[in-house]
Amino acid sequence: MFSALSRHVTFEGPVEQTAHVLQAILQGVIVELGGELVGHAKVIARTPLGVFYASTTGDRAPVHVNADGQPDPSVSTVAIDFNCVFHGLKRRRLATAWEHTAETLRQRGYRLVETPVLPSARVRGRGSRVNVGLGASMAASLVALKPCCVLPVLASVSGGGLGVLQFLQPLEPYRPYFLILTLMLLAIAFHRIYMRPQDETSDELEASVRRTKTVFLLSAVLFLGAVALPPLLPAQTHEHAPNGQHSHG
Amino acid sequence: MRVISVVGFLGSGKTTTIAALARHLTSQRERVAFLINDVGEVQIDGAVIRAGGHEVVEIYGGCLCLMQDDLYVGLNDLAAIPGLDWVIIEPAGTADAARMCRLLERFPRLSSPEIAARYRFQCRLGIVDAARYRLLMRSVPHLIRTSVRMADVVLLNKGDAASPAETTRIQTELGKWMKPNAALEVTTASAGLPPAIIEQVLGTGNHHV
Repeated sequence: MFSALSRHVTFEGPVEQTAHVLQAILQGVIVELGGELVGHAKVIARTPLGVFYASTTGDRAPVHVNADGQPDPSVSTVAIDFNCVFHGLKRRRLATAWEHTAETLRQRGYRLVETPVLPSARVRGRGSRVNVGLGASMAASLVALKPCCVLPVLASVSGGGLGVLQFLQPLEPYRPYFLILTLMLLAIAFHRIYMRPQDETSDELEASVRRTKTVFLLSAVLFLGAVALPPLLPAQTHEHAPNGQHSHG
Repeated sequence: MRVISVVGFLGSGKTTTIAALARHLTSQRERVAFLINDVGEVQIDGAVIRAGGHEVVEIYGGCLCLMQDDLYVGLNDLAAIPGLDWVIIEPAGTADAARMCRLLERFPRLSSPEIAARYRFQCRLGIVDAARYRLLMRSVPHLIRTSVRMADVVLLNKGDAASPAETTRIQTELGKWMKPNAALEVTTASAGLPPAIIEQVLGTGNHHV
């Protein structure tokens, strides 16, 4: 599982401090993350006449900042882009490392102003795993909710008050099959969501994964409720009168 | 339009290597463009290459091996550049090399006849990080092995950061996964690529698609 974090800041200060700021950003994030890192972090500062850029894989080698072009010394605001991708780390941890690093730099007197990174419009093909999990969870919800158990039971409990649900009563004999189908859908959703973790590479994807997990958990609770509910209700018996009439006990 | 794909894990030296290739091609008056990919939401490698005065198509926000539409649109855009000789593709460091190769091999079948006639998948270049080889083989062995298995030329980069004995051990291991006719070279891309290695990458012409 890979997690990525991108940030865009503007640095307000003398352009000759840019290289130092870039080094400090990379080294700060690496130190915050700690441990043996599998991935890399990169940073670039764009000025009208040139760029500074640096990258690190987290090893102990000092960060070397390369410069292309001749940055204009009169420039006092520099746009900086930061990106890191690491294997085996949660995205929240990357975000925390970034926030601590940026705060440390601000406390040292560097003026860093964070600006939003525009959501990438090119996230394609990567949501399929999330979508399968989401789809399976929602299908499980529908199966559990409609024919399986909950609505027919509510119809019974309502004593006919929810008359519109009576049409589901004929499905009651098929309850075990619907339970098995729902269980299978939930198993597929669980496998997709938890056994094959999705890469966390953007705020949108992270939010999408959270929504999928929420839908799955709601579906699972609904299913458990549907399984548990009928046995907890008072039994309703049908007594056959000698003359063929039915009465409810 | 000859295409070179450069696959390697994060931080293995892909961008440094393609910058060296670009300098050589430019010095030979060959026109080269780049298709640079990153999973992040900001493009850094593309800006670095563009700062060298090169044509760059950037695809970010996901791994190129899962973004067929964007890849093919990018290749079609580059194919429209008059007089273009080379396209160098740098997928994200998390890319699956096998999937990338399949996409690039399939491209001419899905493009126009004019582009298909000019398209040639020249070289699959795989870059392995000698300095972090053991760590990466513990963490992401599938990605490392696949990038080596698919490569026509394997560069064991950062050779200066590993001992000669370790470099030899790594070469022996890589040799077990490489294609029979693939080449393996030890490099330090940050110090520039030797002409012999560049010629090996550019001159591998056995892969007409």
